[in-house]
Amino acid sequence: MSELIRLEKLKRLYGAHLAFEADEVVLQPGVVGLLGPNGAGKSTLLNMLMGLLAPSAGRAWMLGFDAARESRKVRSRVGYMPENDSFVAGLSVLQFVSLAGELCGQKAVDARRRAHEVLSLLGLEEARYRLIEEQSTGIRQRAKLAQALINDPDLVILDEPTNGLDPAGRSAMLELISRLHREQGKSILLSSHLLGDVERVCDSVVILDRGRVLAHGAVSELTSSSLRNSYRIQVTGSVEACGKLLRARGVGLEAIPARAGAPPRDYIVTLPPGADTRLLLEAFSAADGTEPACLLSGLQPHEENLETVFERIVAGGGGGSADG
Amino acid sequence: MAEEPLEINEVDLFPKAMGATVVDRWTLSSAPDESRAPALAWWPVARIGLGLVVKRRIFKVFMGLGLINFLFFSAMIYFLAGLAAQLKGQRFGQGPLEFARNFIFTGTGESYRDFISGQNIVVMLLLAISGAVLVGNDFRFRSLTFYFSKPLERWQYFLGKLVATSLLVSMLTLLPCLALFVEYGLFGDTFDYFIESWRIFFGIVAYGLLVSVGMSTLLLGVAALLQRTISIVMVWGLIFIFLPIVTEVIHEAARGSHYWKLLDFWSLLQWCSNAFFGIESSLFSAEPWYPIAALAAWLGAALWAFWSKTRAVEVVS
Repeated sequence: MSELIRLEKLKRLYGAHLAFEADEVVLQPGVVGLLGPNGAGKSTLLNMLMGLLAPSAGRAWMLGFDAARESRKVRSRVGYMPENDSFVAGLSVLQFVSLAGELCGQKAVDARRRAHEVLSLLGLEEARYRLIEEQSTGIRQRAKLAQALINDPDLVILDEPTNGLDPAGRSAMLELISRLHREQGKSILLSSHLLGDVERVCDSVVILDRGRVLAHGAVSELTSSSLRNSYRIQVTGSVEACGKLLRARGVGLEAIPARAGAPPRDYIVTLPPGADTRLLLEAFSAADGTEPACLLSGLQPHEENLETVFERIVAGGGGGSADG
Repeated sequence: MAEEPLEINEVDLFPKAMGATVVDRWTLSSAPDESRAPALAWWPVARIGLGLVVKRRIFKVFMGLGLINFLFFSAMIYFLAGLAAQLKGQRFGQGPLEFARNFIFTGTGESYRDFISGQNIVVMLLLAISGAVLVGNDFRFRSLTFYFSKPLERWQYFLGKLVATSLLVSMLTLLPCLALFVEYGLFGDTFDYFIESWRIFFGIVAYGLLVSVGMSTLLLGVAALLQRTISIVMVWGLIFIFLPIVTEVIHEAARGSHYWKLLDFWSLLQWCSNAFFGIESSLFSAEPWYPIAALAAWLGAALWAFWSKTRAVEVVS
């Protein structure tokens, strides 16, 4: 499996409203997070990838198949866990999961055996003979995951899998997702507006906002300082003088709030393209002995977490691709 | 003296548990291959749909009601055949026997038509109650997203639901009617009845299928549009009770104009049954295309309603 997903000038409009737009995005196998606030276009993208929604323009490929034209092949190889409850009322958990297997072309007896296995894997042994619509949210979510795994898919698409779960249930679901990749070798596309969920289980991420792909790439690359050339510094002396000194050399400066009433001493600086830490050292050396005093007392690479990356990218309206 | 505990080696037990599936809690075996042709993906939809209705108590009640009519006719055929055998060669009792035969079940096209038409009342009631279970709940519980995220096409979903509903209707109309046909023929002195009554056999199959498929299609359209049982029952009542009454009143007021009957689904079925069984009728005798077109319009509207509502993704404006 060379490429997991490829989008080319993909666009979906609802009337005049732009629901999703992406120029070119290529995602490799692994655990991919689809991150964005509510209404960002995550579910629209997933529905287009599954062939459930026709794109207004452009094309999408999943596992090498055209999502719109070879939708049946895509759906045979992909397991989809939708965001909302999506059940056949009146069926037990086991019947529901078996039905999913039969719809994937398995014989009834094979589908039932496989359903038992999947339900055991997901810890649903005791709930299997109970009516699905009468189960708790946690069990229903796991049942939805079970029906997505029944056909041993190459890719599992999970749309907000931790919706409605309590902290313990959420943690268990994320652990399950991690194990599916680690132990079963499944690629996973996880759509969520919860940054913590994505950061915990995903290798790479696609950040969406208002229907547009703002950034995509490996989580480690997006959160790494090397891409943006940013550092955290501590300064002593005149804060204003430091700011003036650095801005004059094209260095971006962002103060980290200090305790109430105290002037900020910690800053995140972003160096201009091509520059390295020597620029900072030279700047502060040149300022040595001048009045008011401005001294560099600390310097280390700035590591962001996904939350700060997301906020920065969404606030800035885009951050490009980390993989090229 | 305390009994010695038995020593059991668990490994020895496995060969004895032939056919048992040992589930490993932490691993999954590879999924079975797709062993069914993709075009048959509608079958699980049909089987599950039928199963959901059959396990309901209300189905058993209506099935029982439908069977009463069937058992009555079946018993009468048996009774009259037995009586005829006993009175064979005797002059006494032949007159009343002939009268009873003509009165109860004649074995003609009319009697089979009337049997199916009588069953249609029970079918109408059963479908009104079952519509939400068969189709409406799929919309209310967003099952369509589940179905269409699997390799299942829209026409296969429709076919699955149609087969489930048609089988349900056939259990009350076509199948018992065929059973009566066979029973009547077997009680004859020869098998000539089966040979001579090919038109009746064709009529039973054609009318039975029309009732099954026609009423099922209508139900799928109504249930897809309305989804909830109470709404389905109300519209179903409008189509099968209120509309026939209104059209009959207008028909009378319009000095016997047949055109108003085109709005009455029962009248259209009646016309078709007469055509299938070769029974002469004055209704639309001069314009046979009118009832065909009206029936096509009813079913076309139902199909359109079903098709337009059946989507995996509901776009909310």
